[in-house]
Amino acid sequence: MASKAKKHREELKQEDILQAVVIADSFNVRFTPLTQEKPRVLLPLVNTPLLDYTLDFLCSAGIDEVFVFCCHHADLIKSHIKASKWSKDSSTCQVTVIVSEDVMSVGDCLRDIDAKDLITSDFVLITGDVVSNMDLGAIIEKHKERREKEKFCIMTMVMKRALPGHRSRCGETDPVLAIDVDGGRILHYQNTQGAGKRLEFPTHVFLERGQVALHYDLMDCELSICSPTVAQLFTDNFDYQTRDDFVRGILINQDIMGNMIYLHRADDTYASRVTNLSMYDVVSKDILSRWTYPLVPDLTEKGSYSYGRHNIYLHQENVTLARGCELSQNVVIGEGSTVGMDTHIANSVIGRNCKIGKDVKIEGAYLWDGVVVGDGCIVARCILADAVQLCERVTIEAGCVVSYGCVVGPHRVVPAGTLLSLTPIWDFTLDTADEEAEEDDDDDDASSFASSLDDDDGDGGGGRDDVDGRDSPPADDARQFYAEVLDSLQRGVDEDVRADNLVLEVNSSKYAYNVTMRELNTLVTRAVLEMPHIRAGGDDDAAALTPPQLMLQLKPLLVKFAPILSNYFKSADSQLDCLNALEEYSLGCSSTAAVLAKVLHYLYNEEILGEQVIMQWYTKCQHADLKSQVQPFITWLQEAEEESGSDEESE
Amino acid sequence: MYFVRWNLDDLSLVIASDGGFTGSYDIANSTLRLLRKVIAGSKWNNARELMDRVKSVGKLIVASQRSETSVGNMVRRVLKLIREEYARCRGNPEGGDVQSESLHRMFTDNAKTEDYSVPILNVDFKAVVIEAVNEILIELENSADNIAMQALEHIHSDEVIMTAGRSRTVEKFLKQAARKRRFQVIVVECAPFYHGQELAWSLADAQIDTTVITDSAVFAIMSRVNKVIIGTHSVMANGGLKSINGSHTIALAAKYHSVPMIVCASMFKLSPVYLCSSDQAAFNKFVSPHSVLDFADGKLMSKVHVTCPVFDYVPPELVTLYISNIGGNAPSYVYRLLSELYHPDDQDL
Repeated sequence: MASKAKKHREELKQEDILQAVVIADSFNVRFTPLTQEKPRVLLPLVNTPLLDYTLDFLCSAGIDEVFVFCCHHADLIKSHIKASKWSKDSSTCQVTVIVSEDVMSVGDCLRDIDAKDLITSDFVLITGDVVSNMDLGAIIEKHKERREKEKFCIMTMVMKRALPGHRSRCGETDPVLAIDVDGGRILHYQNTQGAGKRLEFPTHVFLERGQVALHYDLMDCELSICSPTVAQLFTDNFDYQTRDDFVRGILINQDIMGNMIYLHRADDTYASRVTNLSMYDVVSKDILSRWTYPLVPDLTEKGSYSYGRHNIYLHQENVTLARGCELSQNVVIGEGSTVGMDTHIANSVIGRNCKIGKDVKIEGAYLWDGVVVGDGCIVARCILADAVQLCERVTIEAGCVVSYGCVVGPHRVVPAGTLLSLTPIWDFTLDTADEEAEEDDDDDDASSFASSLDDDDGDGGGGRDDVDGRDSPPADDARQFYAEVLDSLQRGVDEDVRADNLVLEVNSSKYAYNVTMRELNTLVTRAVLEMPHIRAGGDDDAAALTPPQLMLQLKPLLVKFAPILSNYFKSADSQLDCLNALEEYSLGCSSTAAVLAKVLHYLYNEEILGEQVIMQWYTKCQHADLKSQVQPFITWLQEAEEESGSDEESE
Repeated sequence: MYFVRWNLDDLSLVIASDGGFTGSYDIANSTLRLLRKVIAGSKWNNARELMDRVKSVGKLIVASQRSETSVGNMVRRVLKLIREEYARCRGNPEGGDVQSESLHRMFTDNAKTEDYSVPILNVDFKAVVIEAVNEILIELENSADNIAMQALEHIHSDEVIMTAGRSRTVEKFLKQAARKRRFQVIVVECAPFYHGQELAWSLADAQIDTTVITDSAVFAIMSRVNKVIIGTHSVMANGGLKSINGSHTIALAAKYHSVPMIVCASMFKLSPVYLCSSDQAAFNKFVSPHSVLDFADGKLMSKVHVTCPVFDYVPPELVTLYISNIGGNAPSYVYRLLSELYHPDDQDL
């Protein structure tokens, strides 16, 4: 009986469905201006949208359920998937599109997915622009076996061997890894871009291990097999924005939390992500050289391209090649395109319904659908998007991107690294003119495309900081601050509050209204000066107080607030601020002007203001009458200096 | 996990394989099953409609797998058998206008062309056709065994046999002979896929004296070889071979040393396609270069164009004998076999 029941249980063991999460938004703007109208995952790579490569790869691996997470241009992605073969009933794979407008990073996507509770078992985390031909089923099986043995294995990263300098190693992620040799567990992961030549590894990586291997020869395939805990971990840690953050976080805490990440080496197969324009170039070349077999043009579109010697792919329908035209190597000509006489095309992809004129030289360019190239043009390594028209004798130099619908006039030279677009280009953190394209030693120099290599992949729509502290706060904030300072000072006098507490109050007002130090200095001085007038009689005219009366009122206040003033006016700059404030206020109030000398004298005696600063201010002061008013004090000061100077000499 | 099947909705071939290589047998098998489903599932009133239906499906599946000739072969076989069954049911035992190339018939026949549109009412035509398709399936499944049964006639004791790559037909052939005779086998490993090494393991397990050699050693060893026995992917209409890459070299070496070259190929591999030029579209399959050049070597990989073809063409004059499930034939006789298998009107699908 017991064995029968056991057998039943074994038979009833449900096969977990395989799920995948495709992040269809890259959260950066590497492909500006092409991505202003179409999302990156729908840009054509060798005449097929990028998303199709990823979905083909997942479906042929036997994934049952795919969640495509979209943010930017989500409607276009939705309609594309609806029209594709994955939405048909016969498709073995169910593709669901999830739209969320306010996600800013991969982390947010995963948090959203965790909140929606869609993940039931191990899932594949991948972005929508990955081209690969690997056998994902086998990798997932291995991951599951590892999870059976080791409960804490939460993620398997897939990497491929590519020596440094390899064209497929995207310059943005240059990982160096420390791997535990038996088992393949990742002990340390670091993105070395911009880190210079010195790398540091924490010692705990090496302690208590059999053998640790340090790898710099791996390239990240940007796809990982994750367990359901990964989504939960993203929810728990709100600061994980990208996968790199997550990996770093897990590895730092691996002794505490015990979670482990493993590495899978996929050296015999191909996987690459189109992260920026130079990777677009590289992956296109790899596809044309058949490294991605069977994801090659003559097999992906049901035998519509014929494959000829030297990697020439010609579509079978309506391609017209005129007499004398030469397709040297690595060329794809799409459906309905015509190539004129004596044209040379090499290392390029021509899309559908393009018209190439006579005597054109196209080298290393990517022409999308409907491009018209006039006679005699020279098109070097660039991308010409849909419906671009080049009139005759146009030269486009290397590294240019011409966006949808642009018409470039006859006899024009478009300099290297230009971005042309009909709609204004959103300038986030983009260098619009990269002039380095011309001196290429070898054709595969990755820097030849105009692309900004930002450190941070997780930058949201605006790479620019919200720089606020430099500018002064709005005027009413200053006024409110001033009012509060006055209040504090009044209370200070009325309730005899200690100076330290008053300083604290003023400081907290400063932070509350985000006032700068300079403003604070000025306003505090003003407040002290204004107080006697206010106390004398609220709305009365300030001239009501005669100078002697004013001095009578002001003196005790100054005595009381001396510690506060000395706290704020420590540096020469702040003292100068104070003097300027005094000057300004005195200009407005004649009685204050009259007593200014006395005020200065008092402040000098209390060592709140230094002589140097006072002299500096005096010489700079523009107002003659004010200067004449403080003249006696200044002369006394100078004499005092001489005296003290001579005193010192005599000693 | 290994399977080959046709996806009925978009007529794409779904191949799940761990090695990446499928034999033509599996593709032919799945194609026949697909066609059987099409015949059973579609509505038709007479043979002409059925043939049109099969032809349209055939066009699509051939287009999706252009380098696999066995797909087209099976489609043409089915069309031929429809014609035959039609003729038999109508009372002509010979099948009507088959192979009527004699001058006499051309003069006397008055250009009576059969259009197959008369509906057959006395018998259940559908069942008859499906029965015939089943017969072809059985013939397909037994073809390797039929070939292996002829092994003893060709392999004698103490002979040195050379073979290349891994052909299931040849493997069975050699194992069958090894049950009664002792002989030596030299296996050419066939870079870059090295299937020859797998065959060598398998033969060694069957207690056959096996040696593995590299492709470059073929000419040097050939003088000591008695016979070369290889399998093939398909046999072209002129008697030439489309076989694993490296076979042409072996054939030339064999010709030089006057070593007979025997090809074991089932009848389903016989294709009515001619090879017009070495650049013929879809003749060869070019796979990923990773087995030739390491992807990791970035400097080399970006400067060098690497081709990795799977097939080779061997001209008919280099082949001595074809052993098929219906017996042995010379390459020059292939045209007759073709005319028995396929109808000339089906040449272009």
